[in-house]
Amino acid sequence: MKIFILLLSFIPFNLFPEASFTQARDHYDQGEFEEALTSFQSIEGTSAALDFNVANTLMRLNRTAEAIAYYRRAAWQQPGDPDIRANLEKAVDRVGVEYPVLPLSRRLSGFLSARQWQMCFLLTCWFLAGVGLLTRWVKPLRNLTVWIYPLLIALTVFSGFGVWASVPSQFGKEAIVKGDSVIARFSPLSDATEHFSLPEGSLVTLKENTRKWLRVQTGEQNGWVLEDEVVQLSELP
Amino acid sequence: MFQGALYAALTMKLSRTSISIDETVELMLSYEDMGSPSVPEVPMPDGLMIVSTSRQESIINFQRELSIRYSIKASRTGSFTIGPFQLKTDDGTQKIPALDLTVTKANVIQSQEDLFVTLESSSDTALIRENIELTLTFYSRVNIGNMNILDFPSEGFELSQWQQIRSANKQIGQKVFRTQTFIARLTPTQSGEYSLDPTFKLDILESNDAFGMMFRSRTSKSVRLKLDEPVRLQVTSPPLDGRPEEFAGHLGNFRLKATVSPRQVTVGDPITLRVELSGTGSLQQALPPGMKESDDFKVYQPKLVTEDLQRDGQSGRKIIEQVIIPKHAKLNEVPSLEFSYYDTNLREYKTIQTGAFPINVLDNSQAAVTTTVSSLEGVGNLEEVTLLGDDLVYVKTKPGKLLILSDLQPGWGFVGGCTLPFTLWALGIFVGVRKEKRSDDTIRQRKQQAPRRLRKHLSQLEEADEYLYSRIWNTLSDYISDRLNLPPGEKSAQDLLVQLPATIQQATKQELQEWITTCEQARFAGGIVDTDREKILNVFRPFMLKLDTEWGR
Repeated sequence: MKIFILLLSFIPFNLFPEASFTQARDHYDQGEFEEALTSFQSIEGTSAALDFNVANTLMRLNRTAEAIAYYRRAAWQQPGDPDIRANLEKAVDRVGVEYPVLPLSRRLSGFLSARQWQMCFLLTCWFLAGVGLLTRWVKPLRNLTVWIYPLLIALTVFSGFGVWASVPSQFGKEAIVKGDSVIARFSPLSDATEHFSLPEGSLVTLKENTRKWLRVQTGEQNGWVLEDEVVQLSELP
Repeated sequence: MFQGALYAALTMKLSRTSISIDETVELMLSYEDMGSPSVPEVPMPDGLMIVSTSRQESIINFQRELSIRYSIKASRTGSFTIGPFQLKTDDGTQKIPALDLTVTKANVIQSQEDLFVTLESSSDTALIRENIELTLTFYSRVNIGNMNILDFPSEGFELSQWQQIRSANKQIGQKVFRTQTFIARLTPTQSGEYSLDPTFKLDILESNDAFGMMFRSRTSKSVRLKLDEPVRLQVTSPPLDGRPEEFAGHLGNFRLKATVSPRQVTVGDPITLRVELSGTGSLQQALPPGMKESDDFKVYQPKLVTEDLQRDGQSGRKIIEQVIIPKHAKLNEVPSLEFSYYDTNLREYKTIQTGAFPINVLDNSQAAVTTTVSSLEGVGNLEEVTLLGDDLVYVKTKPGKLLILSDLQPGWGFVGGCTLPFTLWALGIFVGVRKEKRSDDTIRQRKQQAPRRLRKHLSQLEEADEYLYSRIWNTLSDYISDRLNLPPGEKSAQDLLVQLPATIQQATKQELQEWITTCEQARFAGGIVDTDREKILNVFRPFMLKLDTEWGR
C-alpha cells in the first residue's frame, strides 16, 4: 500500500490537464496571477483556450508583450474567436503600437486554422481526382471539364497556399518586442550603429539568427536585436 | 646627474640648433652600456622641457651601445644652452661640451606652392540654429603629421567635431597633391556678420640624415598656415512676420503624431499620451509637444522614452510619454497638440498638429456598471462571469483539445492522403486507355483468346456426339486459325503448317501433320473408325496442350 501511494506521488500533476486548468483558474479568480501562470504553463500541450488564459494572466501581470504573443498564437489556433480578438486588441491598445498591414500569407492564416486549411486541401484534392475519374468514365460529363477543371485546380492551389501559410513553421516566424524601446542595429554587435528603435509590443518577423542575435523585419526596415529583447512565438512553451 | 662608472664614451648631439616655438628638437645621447639605468636624466635650462624619450640598443664589435633620444620643446623664445656636463669615470673625468639652441617665434605663412588649405561653407547666409556644413581641405606635397585649428571663432557658433571624410590624391596643373578633407557642422547661435579666418598648425615630417635611418621619420617642423581669404557668413534671425506664438526657434521639416491609450477611463484614471516628433532639422534641441495643466486634465512631466537620432542629431525621431488624468466626466476628447517650426526649404513658418483624440470618461458611479462576458463558443457548459467596468474578456473555462504544435505540421500521412486521389486518378486513366486500346485491336484479341478457346473445345470433345475426327479437326483448325489470325474457310493443311512459328519443335510439327492427315483421311476417305474415342482423346488432348505451350513461348 505504501509503495502504491509512493508511486502515485510520482505521477506528474499535468497528466490531469483538466484539474491543473481548474486549479489555475481558481488562482486567477483569487487574484494570484503568478500562481495561475505557473499552473497554466504546467499543462502539457497547447490549445487556443489555454493560450488565451495564459495571455490574460500575463496581462494582469503587466507583461503585455508576452500576452500579445500568446493571444496571437491563440488566434492562430482558433481564428475568428471574438474573445481572443477582443483581448488582443486591448493588449495592442495598451502598448499603443500600430501594427503593419500583414502580407497575404499571414492574413490567410487568420481565416482558417491549420487543421481547417489541411482539411480543405485534402477535400479539394479528392474532389478534383474524383471529378477527373468521373468525367473519364461517364462520357456525358466530359462537357463539364471546360469550366470545372480550372475551378477545382484554382481551389486546390488556393487551399494549398493556405496550408503552407498556416503551418507552425510559418507562424513561428513572428516575434513581439519585449523590452521598452528596443534598438535594432545594423549588425549583430552590441556596439554596432543604431538603426531604428522598436517600441514594446511591436510585431516583427524573424529573418535569420546568430547565436544571440536575431535579424528582424518590420515594414521595410531590417535590423538586429538581441534574442532576449523579443518574444518568439515559436519559442513559447 | 650621470653615474660615471655606468656610462663610457658618452656623446651628446642636437638634431637642430634653431627651432621655432611650435617645433620640437631632438637631443641624442649615445654611450656604451655598462649596466646603467634605462634612461639617464639630463638637466634642462629654464624654458626648455623634455616631452618624450625613447631608447635604442645596438651591438657593435661585441660592445653594447645605447642611444637615448629626448624630444625637447621650448616654452618661450630665446637662446638656451644645454650643458656642459662633467662625467666622472673610472679613467678620470670626461667633459661633455655644451650645446646651444635658439628658439624663434612661429612663422605664419599663407598658402605656398607645396602646401595650402581651403575652407568652404555650404551657404554664406544662415538663420540662427540653421546648420551649415564646413568643408576643410589640406593640399600638400610634403608629409603632414598632426593638424590643429588654433583660433576658430567660438563666439556666436556651436561647432561639431571635425570628421575626416576623404584622403586622396588630386592633380592641380602639373602637380599631384595629397588632399585630406574634413567636415564639421556649424550652428550659429547669434545673428551678425562673421568672418571665419582660423590659423592651422601643421607638423611637417622631415627626414634627418644626421641621426641615421632609425630617427629619420621622427623629426618634424611646425608651420602655421592661414587661408588665402577668410570665409564670410551672415547670420540672421527667422523673420518676425507670421511667427507663431509657440515658435521656439526650431528649424527644419518635422512630422508629428500621437496616440492616446486607453480611450475609455473613469475620472481619475491615468491616460498615457504618446507623442512622436520626427523629421530633419534641429531635432537635437526639439522635444515633442506635451499637454499643459488645465481645468480638464491633471498632467505629469513628459518622459522622453525614445531618442533615435542620426546624422549628429539632424534627423530621426523623439518620442515622449506623458500621463494625463481627466478631472471630470464631461470630457470627450484629449485636445490636439501643436508644434511650430520654420521650414528652411519653403522659408516660411509652419504649425503641425495631431489630434484631437476622442475619449470616453465615465463618472465613478458609472464605473461600477457590470458587464457580462461569455466564454469560448462550442466548449460546452458556458459559464457567465461578471466583471466590473471595461475589462479583458474572462478566461476560458475549458482547456479544449490539447495538442503539440508540431503535430499540426503536415506529415507523411497528410502528403499520402493528398497524393492518393491523384494516384487513383492516374491509375483509372491508365486502365481506361488500356482497355480502349485492347478493344480496338481485334487481331491481338483473337490471338490472346486462342488458348482459352482451345481449352473450351477440348472440354467439349467428350460431349460431342458427332464424328470424333470431325470435332478434332475443328478444334485443331480453330486453334491454329486463331493463333495465326486466318480468315474463316481457308484452312487447308498446307496453310496451317507453313505459318507455324519457330518455337514449335520439329517433333511436334510432325505429330501435328500426322493429326491433320488422319483427320483428312477420316473426314474425306472415311477409312478410320473412332471406336475407341477415349483412347484417341487421351492422346489428342496432351498433344494440343503441348502445342499451345510451345506456341506461347
